Amino acid sequence: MPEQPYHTREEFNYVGKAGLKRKDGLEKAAGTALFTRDVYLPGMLIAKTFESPYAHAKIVSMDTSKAEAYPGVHAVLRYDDPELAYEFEYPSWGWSAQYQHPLNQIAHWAGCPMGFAIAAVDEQTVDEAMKLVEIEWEILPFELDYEQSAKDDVILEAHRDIDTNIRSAEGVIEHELGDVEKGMQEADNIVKFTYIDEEDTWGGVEALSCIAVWRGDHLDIWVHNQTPNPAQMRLAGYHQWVPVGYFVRVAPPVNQYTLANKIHVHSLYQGAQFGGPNWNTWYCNYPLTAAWLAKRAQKPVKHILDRSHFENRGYDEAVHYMEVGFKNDGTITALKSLDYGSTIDFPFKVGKGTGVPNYYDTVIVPYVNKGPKSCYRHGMKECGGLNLPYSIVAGELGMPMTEVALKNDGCYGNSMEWINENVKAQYGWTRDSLKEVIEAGKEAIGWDEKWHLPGEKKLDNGRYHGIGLAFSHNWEVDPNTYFQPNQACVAIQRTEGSVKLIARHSDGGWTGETSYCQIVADELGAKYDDVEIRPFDDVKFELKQGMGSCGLICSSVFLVEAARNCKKKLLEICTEPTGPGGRQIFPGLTPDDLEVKDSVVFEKANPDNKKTFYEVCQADWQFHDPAIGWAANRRHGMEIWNLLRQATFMEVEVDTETGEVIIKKVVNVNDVGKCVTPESVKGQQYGGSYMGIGNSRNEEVLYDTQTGFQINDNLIDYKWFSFNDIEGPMEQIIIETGMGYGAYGMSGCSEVVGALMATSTSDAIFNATGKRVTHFPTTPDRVLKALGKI
Amino acid sequence: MPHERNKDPKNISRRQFLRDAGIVVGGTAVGSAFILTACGEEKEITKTVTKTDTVTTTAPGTTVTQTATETATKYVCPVCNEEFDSLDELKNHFESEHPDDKEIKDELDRVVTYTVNGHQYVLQVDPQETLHDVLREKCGYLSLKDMCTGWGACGSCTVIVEGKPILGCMALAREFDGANMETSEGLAQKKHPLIDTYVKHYTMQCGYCTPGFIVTSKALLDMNPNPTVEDIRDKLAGNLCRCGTYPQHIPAVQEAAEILQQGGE
Ligand code: FES
Ligand code: FES
Repeated sequence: MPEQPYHTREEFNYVGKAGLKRKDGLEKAAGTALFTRDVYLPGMLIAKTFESPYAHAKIVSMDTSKAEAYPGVHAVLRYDDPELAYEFEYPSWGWSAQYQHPLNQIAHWAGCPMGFAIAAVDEQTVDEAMKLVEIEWEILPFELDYEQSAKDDVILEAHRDIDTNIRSAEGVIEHELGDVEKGMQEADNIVKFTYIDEEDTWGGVEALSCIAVWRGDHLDIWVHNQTPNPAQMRLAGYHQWVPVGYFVRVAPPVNQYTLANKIHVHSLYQGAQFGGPNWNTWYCNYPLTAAWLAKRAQKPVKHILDRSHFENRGYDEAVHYMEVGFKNDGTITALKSLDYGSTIDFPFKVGKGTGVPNYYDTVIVPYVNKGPKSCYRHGMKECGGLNLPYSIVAGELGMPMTEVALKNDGCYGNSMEWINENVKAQYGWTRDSLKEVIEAGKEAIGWDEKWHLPGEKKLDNGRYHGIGLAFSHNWEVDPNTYFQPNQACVAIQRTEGSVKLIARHSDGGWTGETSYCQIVADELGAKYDDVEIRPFDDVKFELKQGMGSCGLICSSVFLVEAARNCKKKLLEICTEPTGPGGRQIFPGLTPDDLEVKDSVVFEKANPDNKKTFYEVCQADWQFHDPAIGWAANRRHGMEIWNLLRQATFMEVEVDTETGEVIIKKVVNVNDVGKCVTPESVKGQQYGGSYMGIGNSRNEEVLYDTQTGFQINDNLIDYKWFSFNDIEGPMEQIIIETGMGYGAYGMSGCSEVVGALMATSTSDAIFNATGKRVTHFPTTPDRVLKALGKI
Repeated sequence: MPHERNKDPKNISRRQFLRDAGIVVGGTAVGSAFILTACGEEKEITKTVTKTDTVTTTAPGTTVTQTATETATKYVCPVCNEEFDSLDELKNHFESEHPDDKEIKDELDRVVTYTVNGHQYVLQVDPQETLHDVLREKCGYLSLKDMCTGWGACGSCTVIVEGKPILGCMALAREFDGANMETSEGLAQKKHPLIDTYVKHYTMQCGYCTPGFIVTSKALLDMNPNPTVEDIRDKLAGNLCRCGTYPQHIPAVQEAAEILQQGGE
C-alpha cells in the first residue's frame, strides 16, 4: 500500500473541535491587529509609483529634474536607473508575463504603475512632485479583447519581437485525453455553446503597500504579500520559477553585501489577499522600488499603491467555444473546447474531476492591454468548463443535474468503477464522495420535492422558481510539487514550559493560527491554550499557508511531523541519563513508558507519576537539550487522485420582467477530508458564497473603449455583494471522508465554493426559465437577453 | 508628522507642533502641553492644573484628614497669557481681544479638542484633513481602516461620534471640535460584550473590516437595544466585507444585545 504517513490518528482533543477561542480574535476585534498599511516608522517617507495616462505607450524621454528639486522630495527612482538596469523577462505562469519590470518604460495598460517613483515627506508632496515630471510619449495602439488580439495584425509592443500577439511563454496550448473525435462519433447528441466570463477584479480590502528601512547592511521590509519567502528571494535578486518551485538568479541583489540573509521580510496580517497579487509578477517586484528608494533616501519609505484593488484583475476572463457529445442515458462521451483568455489553467482542473474519457482543449493566451490577471478565490472557468456541459446534457435530456453528475463522475477520464478497483482499493478507501455530497445537499435543499422540469413552476408572486447544482473535485496542491521549500519548528520554551510554533506565516483570515495550534496541541499532547504562534517575524521557517491554495493542507503534513519530533525529544529528555550532578527526570523509565496529555508528561502505568512541561523544563535543564522538533515539506512519491467532491445547491426566483435573480437558499456541501477548525471551514463556505455570487452576478470591469481606462474602479461603482444582497438562508455542510493528501486525509475547500456560485446559479436560472445564461456575470440584462426580451 | 516643505517660518500652516511624537501618535493627551507655533515663536496654549483639596473630618475620638487631587486643562492665551477652562472660551477671547493678530488666530482656528475613548486630545488639523487621517495618524487609532481608500463606500473607517456612526474618510477633522468619539480600541478597553461575541462567533476572517462593523453594531445597540435580524442586516448594510463574514454578524450582535440586557458589560 502506498505510504500514508500522516493519516494515522484517530482520536483528537482539539482537531475538529468547535468553540475554541480563535488565536487572532481579540486583536482583530479590538482593531489592534497590525496590517502593513498600519506601519508607521519615525521619519518615514511616502512613495508612489507613477501611473500611466495611456493604455499602451512608451516613454521616449523623461525629465525628472524638477521633481527631484522639489522641497520635501528625498528620492526619485527611474526606469533607466542603474539599480534596475536588468531584464525582468522570465516566465510567470502566464498571468502577467508582459508586465514585470518594477518601473517599466512601456505602459501596458491604462493606469499601470510604471516609469518612475518618488519618495517624499508626505503623499501630497509626492503628488505635486509627480506633476513636475516631463515625459515625451510614443503612443501605441491598444487592444482589450483576447480573441481579437489573437487575430490582430497590429502587434502590441510587448511582443514586437515576434509576429503575433500570442504570448511566447504559453502561446497556444492543447490538452488532449482519449480520442475526442471518436467520442463525438459515439455520441447520440452533440451540443455546441459559447461560455463567456467577463473580467472582474481582486477588490482586495487592504490596498497594497510596502515599507522598507535599511539598518546598516540589513534591510527590514514589511510587505502586504502572502508570500514572504519569495518576496525575500526577489529582493535578493532571484525570481521564482513557478510552478516547480525553483529560484532562478536574474538580477543583482538589492543588498549588495549579502544575499537573502540580511533581508528581513515581515508579513503582518493581510487584509483579504485571496492569493492573487502574490502571483502577479509586477506586484511581486514592487518591493524593490521601496527598497531602492529607502536606500537612496537613507530613510524608511512606505510605498503605497492605492489603486491596487482594481489593478489586479481576476484570471477567469475568457471566451470558450464548447462542444459536448453525449448518449441518451446522460453519459458524456466527449468534450471539446477552444478558449481565448488570460491563463492556461482551464484544462488542468477539468480533467481532474471527470470520468469523461475524451476531451480536447485548445487554449490561446494572447496579450491585451489590461491589468495583470491572477487568481483571487477564482476558478470559475474550471468549474464552468465542467458544470455547464453537464447542466446542458441534463437540460437536453430532461434529467436532474444530480444524476448526470453522478453518472459521469471519475478522475482523468477514468470511471468511478475503475477508480474503486484501482485506486481506492489500493489506499484502503471505501467512500464515494460525490454520492455523499449530493445526498446531503439534496436533503438540505429539498431537491426531490423542489426540482421540476425547466420553466414549469411559476410562483404566486409572478416569479419563476428554479433549483440548480454545481460541483467540483477537491482542490489541493499535489504534495509532490510544492511551490516553495517550507518548514516549521515546534519548541517547548525552557523558561516557562509553554509551546511555541516557530514559523513565519502570512494570515489572510483562514484562522490559520488557530488550526496550526490545534494540530500541534494534539500531536504534542499540549493544552491548546499553551500553544502559540506569532507569525510576523522573519524566523527563516516558513509555513505554506498564505502562499497560495491549500496552505493548511500542505503545512499540516510537516507540522504534524515537527510536533511528533518535538514530543519524541521531550520523552527522550524525560528519560535520558544526565551528566554529573543531574538526575533522570523519570528515573528508570524509557520513552515508551510515558505519555503526554494536557501539557503533562506521565507514566502510562502510573498516571500519578507526572510532571508538567514547566516542571520538566525546570528539572536540571542545564543537563538536557531543549525539546525542539522541526520538519520540512518533502516529496511523498504519492500518485494523486482528486477524489473528494464539493457541491453547491442553489435555489432562486427569477423575475422574467426585470431579469432579476433572487437567491432564496444556498447549500454548500464540502468534503474536506478532515476538518480541523469547523468555524473556519464554514467561514470559507459562506464567505466564498458571498464573494462568488458577487463575482458571478454583479462584478464586471467596464472600460472606456476610447481610452482603455476602467470606468468603475472604485467601490461605489464596482459593487460587491453585501449584507442584503442574498435574501435567503445559507446552509453549510461539512463531509469528512479522509481521502485528501493533507494530514489526517484533509483537503481544501475555500476557493472552490466561490468558483461554484456562477454555474449553480446558471443551472438554477435554467431550471426556472428553461433558458440558459452562459455569459457571466448573469446581470439582469443578460437574463432578459436569454429570455429573448431584449 | 513633520513637513519639511514648510520650513519657511512664514509658511507654517501645515506643520504639526507636537511635543509627544511617537511612531504614530501626534495628538496630545491632557497632561502635556500643546504648543502652537506662529510668527516663528512657540507658545504653550494648554497647561495642566492640579488642584488639591484637603478635608478634615472629626468624629468623637478621631480626626481623619483626606486629600483629593484633581487635574484640569487650562487653555492659555498665547498673547496675554490669560487662562480659560475651554478652547472655545480661549478662541472667543482671542477674537474679541486680539482681532489684529491674524496669523495666530489662523493657527488657533485649526486647533480642535476631541475626546476619544475617554481620552482628551488637543490637536491642530489642516483644513483638508479627514477625521480618519487625524484619528489614525495623530491619535494612533489604527482600527479605522481605509478599505475603499476614501470613497465612502465601505464603512471600514467608521467611528462613533456623539453616539452616531460616521465615516471617518468623509468627515473633515476640523468640524468635530469638542466631539466625543469611540473606536473599537475603546470598546475593547471597556470590555464591551461585542468584542467577545465577535471573537466567539468567528465574526471575522482577515479582520480588516471588523472594527468598522463592531463600532457600527455598537451604535446600533445604543439606539436599539433589542434589534431584529432585519434591523441588524439593515444597519450593517453599509459595511462591506470581502471575506463574506456577513452571516456571523447576526448571532454576534444578538448575543451582545442579550448580555447588555442582562446588565452585563
Ligand atoms: S474608507 Fe471610508 S468608507 Fe471606505
Ligand atoms: S473579514 Fe476580511 S474583509 Fe471582512
